Amino acid sequence: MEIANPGCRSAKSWPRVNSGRLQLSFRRSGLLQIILVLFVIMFAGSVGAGGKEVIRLGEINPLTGHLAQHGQEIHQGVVYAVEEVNAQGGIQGRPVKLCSRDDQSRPEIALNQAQELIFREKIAGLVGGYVDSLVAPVSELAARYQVPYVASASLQQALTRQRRNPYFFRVSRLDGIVEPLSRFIDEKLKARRVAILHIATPGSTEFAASLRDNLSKVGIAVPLLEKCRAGSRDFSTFLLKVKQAGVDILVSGGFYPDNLILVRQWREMRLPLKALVAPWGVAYQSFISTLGRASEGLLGMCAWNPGITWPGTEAASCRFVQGFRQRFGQEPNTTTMHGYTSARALLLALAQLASRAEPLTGPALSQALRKLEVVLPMEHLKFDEYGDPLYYRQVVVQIQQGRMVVVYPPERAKGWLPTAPSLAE
Amino acid sequence: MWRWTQILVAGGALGSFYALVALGFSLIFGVTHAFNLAYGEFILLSGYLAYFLWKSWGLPFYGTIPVCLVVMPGAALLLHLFLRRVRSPFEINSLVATFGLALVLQNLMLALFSADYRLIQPEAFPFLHLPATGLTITDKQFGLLTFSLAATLLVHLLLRHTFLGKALRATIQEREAAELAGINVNRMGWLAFAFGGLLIGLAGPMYGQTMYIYPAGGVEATLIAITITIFAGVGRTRSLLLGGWLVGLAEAAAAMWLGGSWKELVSALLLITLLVVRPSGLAGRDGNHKP
Amino acid sequence: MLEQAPPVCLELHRVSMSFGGQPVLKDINLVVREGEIVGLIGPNGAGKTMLFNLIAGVYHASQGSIRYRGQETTRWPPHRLCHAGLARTFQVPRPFPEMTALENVLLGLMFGKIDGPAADAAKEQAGELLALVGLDHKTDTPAGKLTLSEQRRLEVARALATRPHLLLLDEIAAGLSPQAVGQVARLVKKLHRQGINLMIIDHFLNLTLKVCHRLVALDEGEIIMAGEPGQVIRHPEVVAAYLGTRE
Repeated sequence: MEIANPGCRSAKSWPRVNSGRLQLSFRRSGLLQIILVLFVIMFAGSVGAGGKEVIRLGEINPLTGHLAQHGQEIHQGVVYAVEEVNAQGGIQGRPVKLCSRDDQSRPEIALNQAQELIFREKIAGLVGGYVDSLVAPVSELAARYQVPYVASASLQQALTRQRRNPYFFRVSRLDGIVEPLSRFIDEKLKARRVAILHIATPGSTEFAASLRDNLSKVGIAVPLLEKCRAGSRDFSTFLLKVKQAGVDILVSGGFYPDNLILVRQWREMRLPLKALVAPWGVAYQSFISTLGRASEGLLGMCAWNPGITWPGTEAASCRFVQGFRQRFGQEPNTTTMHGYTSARALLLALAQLASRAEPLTGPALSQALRKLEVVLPMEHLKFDEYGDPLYYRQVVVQIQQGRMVVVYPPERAKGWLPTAPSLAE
Repeated sequence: MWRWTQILVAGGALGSFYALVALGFSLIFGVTHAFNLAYGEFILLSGYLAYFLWKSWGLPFYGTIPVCLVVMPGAALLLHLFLRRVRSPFEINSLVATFGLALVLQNLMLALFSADYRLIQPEAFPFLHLPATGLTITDKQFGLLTFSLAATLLVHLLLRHTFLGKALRATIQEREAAELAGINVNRMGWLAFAFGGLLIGLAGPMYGQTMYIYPAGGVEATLIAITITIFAGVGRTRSLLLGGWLVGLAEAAAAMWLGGSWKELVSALLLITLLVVRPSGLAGRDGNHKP
Repeated sequence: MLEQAPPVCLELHRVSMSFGGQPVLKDINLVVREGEIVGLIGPNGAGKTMLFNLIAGVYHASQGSIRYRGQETTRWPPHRLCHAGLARTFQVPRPFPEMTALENVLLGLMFGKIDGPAADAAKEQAGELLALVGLDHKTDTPAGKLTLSEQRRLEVARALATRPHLLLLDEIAAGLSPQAVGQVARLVKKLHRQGINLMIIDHFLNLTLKVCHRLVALDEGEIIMAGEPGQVIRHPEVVAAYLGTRE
């Protein structure tokens, strides 16, 4: 039968009605189709491939801006943890969708993104964050809307101690850095006078004050405690003051890029110091390869690095390193591991709830996090009543022949040089 | 005394570099009225070029400078081509256009080079070291001082002692009158961007060697350029150098006596005071004068 | 036998100009012949300076055409017109304030034509031009430090340095004493004898009546009268325009 309009159905198949009703019928059915499509689009994202409801996890990190290097590292750690879970079938068969947002290293953007994640994406929990100026506003929001937030890199005591926030948790804590560092300076370096440089961020400022207090308790003088802006381009005047103060040790609470300049200028000015210790920014392979010989003998701190892992987690650590290398084509570092650990904590708590067929509400998840106890490559993770990690402890490492060697605490130390030749210059 | 000398050295080296950074911006803005908010990003691009030449190709640091001096004028001329499409009011619209361009470039650099901090030539050796006094002038400070002063001097000689330079100055001072005197101000615009590109080409490697480069680091360089240009006035090489030194020395002195966190505040106060006392800038004239 | 009219130096044909939709010049038809000194008069806001801006290429006419020395120059940029021999001064002088008087004039010499003189010769010529306008004692003074009258003279020197064929002088006699106006008049006549054609804007008529061969009166963007100076200034429309009573 010849078809008048090729591509159209034959006239036989159309209903025999007059044109007016036909148009109305088309309009109604077209509208229904559109509504159906919209419905599918709206809810398609919440249903996984196997038809199970997706669990949404929110992540906010500085992916751009002046903190982007570490923000990207945390992000990679979080992504790896989520992909690891999904590769194992998700949480009780439910896939985990990671909703990542960039706070551009700005607190107001962090807040906006958190609101968007909570209201629009309806996330079960939040993870991420680097420096407390970015973490703090998000933690307030978490409390207000009862969405658990596990911060990857937060130190400010006030966030957990000043006001109880049942929805805020973190995988790092300040005294996990200050305490081993003070003991190291006292017991191993046997310093008598220490200079401290810190950055104008809440965590670094608290670190400096806390370290000074700890050192004073054991009779170590801190004649110079100086604050500078993150991203300072020149430390030569400060180093002049260090020289004038006649200190044995310089502790730098600066970040990675600050220490690049500080260490280089210290070497150039040939300041005699027993040691330069930097809890942040030194214990990175990239730092060592950037500075080369100038990094020899430097002391840093880390919670984890390839080859430096919580006792008993060597195999898990190795698997992580290999998997990460394969996924991202680069080495993970301590910051990556903080991201991974915070995401693992949230995922494990979600898994516990899901295994008991409990609803994944904020209060339930918060309770699950509070009861969580797991040994991970970075730490034996268990949160105290304030949301701080009970057993978080960093180790002191020294850069020896281009490698990081743990030198403190004694139970984890792998080596020690009494004096590194370059330091004595 | 040696402490003062050290401060002078630190402040002078950094200040000379500030002047170098501002010089290109000032020249471009003065001649074309293009308010280039992507200026810092162009310096970063130059820095990245130098970094990768040094790191991946094994070029000695000072060997990267001639390459940047060839490539960056080309990039600057492309920018000029882009800005020629911007309509009136040109100053405001060029500000908006280059703001957008800065964001694009930041994200492009992030995608191409990652967020990692890059530092050129970390090996350190002092150029001058007097152990008895503790005075040290590093090779980097010496390089910074030398190159920045040399570039400033060359630009000064160009502007003061060549007819081309006088034509550029005339265009800066009175654009319409310059054109009516037979000066092709469009051509002056091309030249300003080309010279600005040369200065960017020099500033980039210096930036990568003195500070570290990262995709979001351009904002600071642009801010330095704008601040010193406001201080000194447009196209005034001596004032730019003086302004750079003032800011550099103020920062060094503030760091010494008040602490590192006061540096930027002291510079800002200096700028505000100067603008109140001399609204037309460091070497400014009376209010009638146009830059 | 009829005397042939001198060749046309500048011709404006139905030139109009608007700013933001407001007409500032309407349907201007004007001819300046070789050897003429033409005065442009009219009350404030008549469009005299705007007309100069159009002729000199600072702005471009919305309608109509401008021909200079036989070439269509309506859309030419100012520097190209300068190279072709057209120069102007400003009502409020605009020297290059941070450059010396000598440098100001040197720029005109070096850039006013495509082939400028050699540097040494240029310096000498610049000195002569400054002497011509009575500024030989101020060669090294920054132009921004000169008095208003000196800046005006400097602008004339700079304009002359470009070796113009047609010189547009905008209110060059404004605010001058009768004696000074006389000096300017003598300078204008001297330039005319050297073969330079001139158009002079003169609001107060103190110069144009002394030197101009022809006057053109503008009001509200239109030419209301053109002709011999004595006739033009007595024309009722011109008088009414100055008094503000013209309808």
